[in-house]
Parts: sequence; C-alpha cells; structure tokens
Amino acid sequence: MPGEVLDEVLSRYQELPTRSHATILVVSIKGIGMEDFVEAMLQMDTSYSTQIRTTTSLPLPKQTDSSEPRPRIDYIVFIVDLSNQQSFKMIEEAVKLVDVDYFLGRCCFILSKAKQEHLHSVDLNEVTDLVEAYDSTMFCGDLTNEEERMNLVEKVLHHAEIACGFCNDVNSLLLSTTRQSFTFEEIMTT
Amino acid sequence: MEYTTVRSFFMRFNKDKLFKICVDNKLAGELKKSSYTKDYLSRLLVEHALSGKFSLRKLEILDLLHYHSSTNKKWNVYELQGKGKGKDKQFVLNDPEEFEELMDKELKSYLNCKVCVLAENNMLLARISVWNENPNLLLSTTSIYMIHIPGSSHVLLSTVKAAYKTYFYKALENLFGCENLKEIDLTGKKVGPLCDLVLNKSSQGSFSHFRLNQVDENPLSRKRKRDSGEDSDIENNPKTFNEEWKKDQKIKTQTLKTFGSNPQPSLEKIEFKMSTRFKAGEYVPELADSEETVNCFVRFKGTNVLEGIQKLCEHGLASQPLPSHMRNIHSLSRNYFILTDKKRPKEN
Repeated sequence: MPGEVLDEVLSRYQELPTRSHATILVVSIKGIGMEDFVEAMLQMDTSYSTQIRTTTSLPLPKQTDSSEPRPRIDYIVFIVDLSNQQSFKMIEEAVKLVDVDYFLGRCCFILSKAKQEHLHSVDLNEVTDLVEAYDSTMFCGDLTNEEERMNLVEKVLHHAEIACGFCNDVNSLLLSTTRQSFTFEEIMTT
Repeated sequence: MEYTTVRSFFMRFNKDKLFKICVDNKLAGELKKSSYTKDYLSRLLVEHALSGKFSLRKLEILDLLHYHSSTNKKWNVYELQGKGKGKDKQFVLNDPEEFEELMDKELKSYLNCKVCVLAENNMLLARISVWNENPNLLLSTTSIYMIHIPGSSHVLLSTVKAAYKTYFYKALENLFGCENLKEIDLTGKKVGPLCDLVLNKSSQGSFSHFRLNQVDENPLSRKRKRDSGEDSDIENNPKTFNEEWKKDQKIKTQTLKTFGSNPQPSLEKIEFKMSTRFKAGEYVPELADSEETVNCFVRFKGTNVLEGIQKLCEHGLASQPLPSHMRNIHSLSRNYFILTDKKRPKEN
C-alpha cells in the first residue's frame, strides 16, 4: 500500500523547520569512526545550534507518543567505510528509504579509507556509481585520522548550513551545480 | 646426580631467576646482575649442588614453583566422583607433609616415584617425578604436576604419560577415597580461571553479582557506572540523539543478563564438535532428506574467549538471545562440547 511505504520514507515536509537550529542525521554502522566524527562536529563553533541524530539503519524507528517529536531533519550524512562491506550494504538499502527532496543537495556521502586501496573490500566504482545515481556530493577522507576528520567536518557543516538556509543568496541546488562528476559520461555532440 | 642433568636443570631458568637463587644462597651478589652471564651463574649453582649443599628437595621445590609460575603449561581438570563415601579423609591446608606422605605411600605401590608437596595460595601443589629404571628426579619430562584445592572434589593435572595413566589414577582414587577419577572436558593454561569455573560453577554470569556481594547496595551511594556499562560521550551529550536507543538498550540488558558485569574467567579455547544431519535442504534438494551425519568442528581461540563472545553480543554482532550452547558456557565448566541432533521419536 502506498500509504505504508510513505510512512517509512524520510521526508522533509512532515515537520516544520526549527528556527536557527540545524538537525543532522548521520547514517552509519557502528565501529567505523562515526562517534568520533559526531564528536568533532559538535566541537565546531557555529552561530546556530546543532543536533546530531545517529542511526545504524533506515527506516528510523517509529516514534512512541511518550518521547518528544522528531524535529525536521535538515541534512543527512551517509558514511561508507570502503573496508567494511556491511556499511555499503546498509547504505544501499538506506538510500531507498529517503525522500527525493533530500537528494537535491541536502545529503552527502562520506567515503572513508578511499586512499588505502589495500584495505578495500567494496568496489570503489560501485560506490561512486551509487553516489552519481543519486546525484549527491561525495567526500573522501579517513575518519580515523584526526586531521582528515576535521577537514570532513568543516565541509559537511558548510553544506549543512546552506541546506538549512542560513546563508543568504546561496541555495543547496546552486552549490550542487559546482560539483564535479566522478564517473565518466559520454559527451554527445550533435 | 650427574653434571649434565643438573646443568640442564638449571639452564631452564632464566638469568634473573638464577641470579636470585645465587643471591639467596650467598653464592654471588657482590657485582651487579648484568656483569654475570647465565652460563657462569648456572655453573656456580651446579657446583654448589654437586658438592651436596643443595638438597634434592630444594631443587624439587624450585622446579615445582617454576612450573607453576610459567603461563604456558597445559592443565587438565579431573573430578573426584564419589568422594567421601567410606573413608573420611580431610586434607587440611596446613598439612602438606601429611598429604605428601599419604600420596607417597599410595603411589609407591604402583610406580617408582618421588613426591614433593607445597602449600601455596590455598592450593596444594604437588610434583611427582616418576622413573623407570634409573631414578632421575630432576627431569621434568617425566614429572607430573598436580594441583588440589583442599575441600573441593577437583584436581588439576599436567599431561600424564599414557603408560602411567591407569596406575596414577588408581593411586589418586585411593588417596582421596573416591570411587572414580573422571577427566572432565575442561583444559586451559591459567589455573585461576579453571578453578573459578569449576568451583563457582553455579555462580557465573549474572549470578556472580550475588557471589561478589554486588546486589543490595546502599541506596544513598552514588550510582555505579559499572552496571550501566561505559557511558560513552555520545550518549551523554544532549546535542546528540541516538535514534536506535531502544534497540541498543535491549541489547545491553540482554548481554548483562547473560554475562553479568564482572570479568569473565579466561579460557583460551572453546571447541564444538557437531555431528548433525544436513540442514540446508532448501538449497540442495537432493540432500534434503539425507540421513547421513555431517561432522563439523568449530574452535574459538583467543586470550579470553568468553569475554570475546560477550563483546560480540555487546556490539550487536551476535544475534541475541544466544543459543544455549554459547550462552551457558560459563556455567557448564567445560570447553569441549559435542552437539548432536535430538533423537527423533520412533514413528510407528
């Protein structure tokens, strides 16, 4: 039934945005550096308040009435560790359950350990194909390395800020037009 | 005592130990330890021994303590079944001499041997050196080492040569006044955990809280973090929210119920031998109804296997609830299991 499927899909229009507050959802399995990443993000000084929600799979569990309602999720970060097949499998399943509106510049994929080819157990091309299929930004860096982690955090927060609309005159779709493509496309010339 | 045997006896120890023995016997010590070589120290000791100043008993005790302090010796656990029926022998801890005498008397009727018993750490440590023709007390390859905890009905033995097994077991049965000495499937390298598993069989896992007096705490004292697990920063930070906290909480309580929050006794390996029917009939239809048994052997190895299994559960990598042959290992006092199918009732 279409109604049931809609319930599971993460959508941007079910809640109202929170004023001067950014809610970032991090989708990542445990054990690949997600916790350090979240900690680093919270250490950054921003003019707006942030809340980071973490999950190890989608769909998000149904909310019980007792807990406070889930705020609107402004930005989604998918973390894939190229040395962990489980993380890629989970992300593959998770992206199907996210509303298309998030893929217009309001989500990103982090590829951890992209440079350490000897550790790869996931095909890099498969991952890049997925990212291109969903037309999203991709960041590479080693989440276990502090410097690279801070680098990634800065980039993600910059994108998240734009996705929340805190930057005047810059829209996330505008930002995505400046993105590089990582797969080779045949250029048709007529 | 020949020179070569005594020398090989002493060369087994490391240099620090040799130096310590020399200092204790006032043989060396004017210079620093580093200025002596192991060769020189052992020569000193051998000469000292050969001139009769080192009693044989002292050497035996040295060997015994050395064996017990080394951490890579394999111990097998035996159970004394039917103990206490008939004869009433209580081996009191402060009487290792009586134990030694009795043991010597029993064993002498079966084997040529010499017994040496020490009491240490609430345990009776024994060294039995057996010989065939020539008494050679110092060779450790023909020695059997035993640990007995007084009052318990268990004994730990090092590997016993097949030739001596029956006689040795019979002698021990007579010594302890029990009907049968049974080898239980528990082996390991560390004595402490083996004793713990065997003596505290019914208070492992979450029941260890009762044994260690960790229930009924003072309600006014500060809440211990031990029971709630390690509080990771991500949980405490109000700016983060774990969407799956319910699932995580469930995993945590299940693991706590199965394993408790006290450290698990360390076992080096756990082995499962399975002989079951082929169960993947849906993938291989030809073998679906096969009655043949498939043999399978699984071995878990590590520094502390039980803790490893606990960590797997904590991190959500093992699906809970665990099957009973994994969940109850700590309470079964064995580390070799044979898993078979349940016998099907006869169909008429």
